[in-house]
Amino acid sequence: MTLIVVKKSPENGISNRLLKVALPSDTILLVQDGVLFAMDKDLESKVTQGVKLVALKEDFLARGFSEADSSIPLVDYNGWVELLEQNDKVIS
Amino acid sequence: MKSVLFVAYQSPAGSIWINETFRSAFGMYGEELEPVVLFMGEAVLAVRANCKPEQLGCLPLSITFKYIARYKTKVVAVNEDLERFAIAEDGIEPSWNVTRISESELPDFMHAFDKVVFF
Repeated sequence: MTLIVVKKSPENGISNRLLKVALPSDTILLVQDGVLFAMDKDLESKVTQGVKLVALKEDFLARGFSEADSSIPLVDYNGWVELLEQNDKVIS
Repeated sequence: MKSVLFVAYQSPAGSIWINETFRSAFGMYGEELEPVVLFMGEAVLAVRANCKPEQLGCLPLSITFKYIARYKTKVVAVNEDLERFAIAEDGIEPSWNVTRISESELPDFMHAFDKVVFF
């Protein structure tokens, strides 16, 4: 149960490598420019099966998108805190 | 004793992040924390024997060697990145005492640490 926080955009190679590090019981949280991954309709297929994917709503809306534009669930800051509490390790 | 992995992924030439990664790692000693440093992506260029950022006015990487030796800090580099940048065994600076890991081992390797920080 690890929370992986992705901060850099899909244009940055390290973000794609972070997605590949996730294991089935992990949660990937996309924040900052990492929320741009949420535009990819095929994102789920690019991570290991069983990995939970979420994006930070405040960062997503701040970049001019609407909630309907996201291909994955959105959480707010409170949701982020809950994810930190639910997971025993963090990779960020 | 908790274990912390510091991951450097940015180029050693023109950015501070390799030295900052080690500054943070060395700061862990004395606490109940055991640091390990991982080079990924362009950061693997740092292990080249003739990688000299000081030629650009940046901090030399060699200032870390004394402490790596003293603390026996484990330094790991990703095989595929070393190969991508054509870094052969005889081109590696021995002071790093670098060990290698393959890309496929990264998920389990990273999950073995209590905390992983990307620089």
